[in-house]
Amino acid sequence: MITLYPFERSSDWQKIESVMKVHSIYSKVINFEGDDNRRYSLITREVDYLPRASLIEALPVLRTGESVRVSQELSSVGFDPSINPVSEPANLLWQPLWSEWRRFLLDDRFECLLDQLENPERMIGLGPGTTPAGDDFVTGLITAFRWTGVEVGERFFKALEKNGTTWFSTQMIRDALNGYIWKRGYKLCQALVGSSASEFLSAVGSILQWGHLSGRAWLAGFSTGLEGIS
Amino acid sequence: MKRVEIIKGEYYDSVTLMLVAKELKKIEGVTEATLNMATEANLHIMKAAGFEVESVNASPDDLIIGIDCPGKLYDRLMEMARSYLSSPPWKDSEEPGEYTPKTLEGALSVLPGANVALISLPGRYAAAEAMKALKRGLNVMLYSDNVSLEEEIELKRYASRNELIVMGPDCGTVVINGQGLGFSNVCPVGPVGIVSASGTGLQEVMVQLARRGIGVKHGLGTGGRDIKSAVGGISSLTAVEALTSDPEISVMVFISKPPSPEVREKIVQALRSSGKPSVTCFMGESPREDEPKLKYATGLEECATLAAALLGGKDVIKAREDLINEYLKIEALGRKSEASGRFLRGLFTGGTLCYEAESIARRYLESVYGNNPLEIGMKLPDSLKPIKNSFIDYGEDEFTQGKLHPMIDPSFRSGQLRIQSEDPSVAVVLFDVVLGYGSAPDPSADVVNAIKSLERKKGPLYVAYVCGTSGDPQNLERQTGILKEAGVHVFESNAKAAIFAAAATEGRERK
Repeated sequence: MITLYPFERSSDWQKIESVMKVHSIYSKVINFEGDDNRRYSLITREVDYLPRASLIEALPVLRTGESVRVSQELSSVGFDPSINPVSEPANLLWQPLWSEWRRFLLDDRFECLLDQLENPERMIGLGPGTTPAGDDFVTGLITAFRWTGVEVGERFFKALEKNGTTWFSTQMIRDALNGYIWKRGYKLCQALVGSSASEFLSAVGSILQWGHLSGRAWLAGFSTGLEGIS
Repeated sequence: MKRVEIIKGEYYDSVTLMLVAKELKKIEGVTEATLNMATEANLHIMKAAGFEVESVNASPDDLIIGIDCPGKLYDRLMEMARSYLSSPPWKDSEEPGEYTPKTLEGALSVLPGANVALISLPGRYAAAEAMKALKRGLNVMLYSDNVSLEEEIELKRYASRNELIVMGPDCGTVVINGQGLGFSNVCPVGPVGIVSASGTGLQEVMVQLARRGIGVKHGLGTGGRDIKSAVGGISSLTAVEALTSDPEISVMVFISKPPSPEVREKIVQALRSSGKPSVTCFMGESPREDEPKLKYATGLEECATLAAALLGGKDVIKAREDLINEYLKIEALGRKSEASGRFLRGLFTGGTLCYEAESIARRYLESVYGNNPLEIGMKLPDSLKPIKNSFIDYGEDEFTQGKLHPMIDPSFRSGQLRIQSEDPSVAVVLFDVVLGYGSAPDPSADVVNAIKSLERKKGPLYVAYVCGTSGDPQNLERQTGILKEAGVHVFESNAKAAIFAAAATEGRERK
């Protein structure tokens, strides 16, 4: 069995050795399923940090279903994915900009999501994309709630239990519910309390690069959460 | 084999369509590839190119793809076209980029100190956005066309009441503090201020001034209709006032086609009252007697020459005479030149350059037709089939609905140039090449490719003017060199090129 030695990790990945099974392989990330049925990921770029992720210099050649050993012996912590509720409010200077993101829902491909805006937990599993766009929206929404200190209703937990969606999305939504965030989202939150236009625009641009539609859907959800509509 | 396919209800911007067509044309076996929104004008153009569009059921909201290729390649090429449209190969999806604000409010969050909004939207939306910008205290450069006259008047009246200016509609060139917006050339900044109801007119005067070592601080566009009675010169007068109150402007220039008489009087009066030496260029007007501080030019190069003389404290009369003498020499050269055929075809990308060239040609030639002719009754029934002496402005609406302006994508004009050149009755082909920001990266190469593909045994005489500077991205010297190497007679101004071409054609019509 191959052993992998990442050089950096997120703080929620413990400094131990563990055996995992390869779940899915992409050009810049490999996702694994741990013994706890949770997703763990190997990434090659800092910008792609997410909960339970480790940075490695190059992705090894693996097969789906293959078991590998991942040792954190040599790794240091490079990213803390905890959402820290904001101590100062988002800079209202950016409000006209974050208001624009809800318009992403006007894209024809998101039509099915618009119908569920009043009850966003029903978006789970809905919509186009490898991760259904509804899942991205809900993740953005919950992240905004967590960040602004708004209570996240039980309905999201229940809907996640009840509605079927992809394994990856389930992990993603659960992480948000548990108060964890991806690095791209973290950068955006930092920029939102600041006053640097370039930092803000760059952070949003980075999220838009996320998947084909995922970034847009996430921003639409995040914006909805910021506007305080649950 | 030429075939077409319709993709219903899918909109793509003209740049994307141009680039996809370009990618398809690179493939071996493809003779022609064209992607257009199915507007009436585009269907007409495709029909003239031999595509079967008569039985096509398409609306302007549909995309029509035409490909000329061997039958066995067709399906694969169509698939490639669809693939390119959904995932453009020239776009790197991994490349990080900044978010671009989608609303005026969003943009003002990022640039709270902005005082100009450049609006480029389909005409039916443009006026509303322009008014939003005005209400936020921004001046407006309205690049969009198809804005109604009523909307234009409303916008300009509001702007005037609030000490703002609307530059446009259909305003393609503005220069503010030496910074070009839209189509613009790299020119020095200096003590000249220009107000222009003509885009390429502004470019030509700036370029001619640059060649005389003179810079322009502001070049304010007004849109072509501003000088008509209905609009009353609102933006023109605001612009003249702005330049008057700028202490860094020493000489003022006003460029337009002939205004309505009462608007002309207001403009002239405003220039007189400014107290600054000024030059007007109401193109095509008969020469008038100059005033002590106000000089009347009738052509763009003359306008720059007089402005330069005023700035340098030189004798304006002599400057004009020297220019006329240059023109006479060029005219004599033209008359001596040999050409096979009878007629002149002027094929232009810049509207005002076409206008000026045509008005010059009319002094030499008996009849001059066009798609936007100076003389009533000389309009071509079909702009794709010019007759006798004809001047075609390929930037006119009939060629630019759902298509890029020929200054951005000169391929259509080049195709037409080749077609016209094959006509044995055509003795001289006159054309412009406009450089600068916004223009095609290598416009001369495009034309030369068309010239080189000529099958006619003895081709026409090619005459050209390159409007640009050595600082432009395309580089004036390089573009001129490409044309000269292909045997094109290149002149230093639009007027000179037109004089040579017209003189070379004079008298041939009757043969």
